[in-house]
Amino acid sequence: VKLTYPTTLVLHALGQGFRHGFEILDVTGLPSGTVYPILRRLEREALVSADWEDAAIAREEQRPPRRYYDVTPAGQLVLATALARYRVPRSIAARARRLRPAGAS
Amino acid sequence: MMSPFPLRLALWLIRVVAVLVPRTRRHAWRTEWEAELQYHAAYLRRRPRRSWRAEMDLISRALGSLPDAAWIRRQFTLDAEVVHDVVYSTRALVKSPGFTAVTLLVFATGIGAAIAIVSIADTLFMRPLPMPHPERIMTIWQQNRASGAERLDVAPGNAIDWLARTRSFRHSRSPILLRSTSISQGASRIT
Repeated sequence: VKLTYPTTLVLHALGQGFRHGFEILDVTGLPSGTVYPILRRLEREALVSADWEDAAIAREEQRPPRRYYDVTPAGQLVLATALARYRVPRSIAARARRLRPAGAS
Repeated sequence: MMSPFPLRLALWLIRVVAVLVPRTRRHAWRTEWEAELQYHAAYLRRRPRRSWRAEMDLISRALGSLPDAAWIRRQFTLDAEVVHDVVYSTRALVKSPGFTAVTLLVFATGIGAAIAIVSIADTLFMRPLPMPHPERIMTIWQQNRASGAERLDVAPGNAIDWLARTRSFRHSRSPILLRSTSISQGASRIT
């Protein structure tokens, strides 16, 4: 897989528990036009798995179901390699701590 | 509070961009984008202070759907078998320029000859002559019995005299001389 710096940031955000596309935008500061193609590529390479939100939650909030992403075991290995190569800036790490993932309690 | 206009515009953008996404994946793609935008808009609505920057951010996020859709379209197209064939053929042709040149020459000659033949046949046999009543155009020749020469051109004056004296043309409108040997009966235009 092509390990670019934005790919590392996306994988890192997913590893931190940010599972929705727009959450990843908020954490990484990357534009949506960068994040979504990266997610598609990671999904194609089976480094990330994707699933749909529970329909009941979506119905309750009167909107379509959101899609969420998870790092696969193969993706975890790639993330470790990527983090050894690139350093995630402190600002992003701090933002990740400040913004709580939607699924986190 | 947030006005509904930015969300409406963002959702409209998604509907427009969705055309790029292959049909098999379009519904899921659109659902994902619409869900994210509506979720984000709901989050902005819950905020006590209205910010035009946050509203513009919603549209900016929606604009990101364009590279996403283009990426998916590109993958879909490049995965198609015919594209693989074209790429393979192009690489093979680039590898052997002599063979490519001869192939192109043969193709060019064949195509050129075919076009020329079809053009000539079209002009001669398929298209009507560019004048009214082309079916009434005729050619007359004369024969020299002494020498045995046939199909000799007729002088214009002779042609006019013959037509005046011949009963075959009596019921027709006056013929018009086109060349020394070609006459058209009742033609209103000479070409």
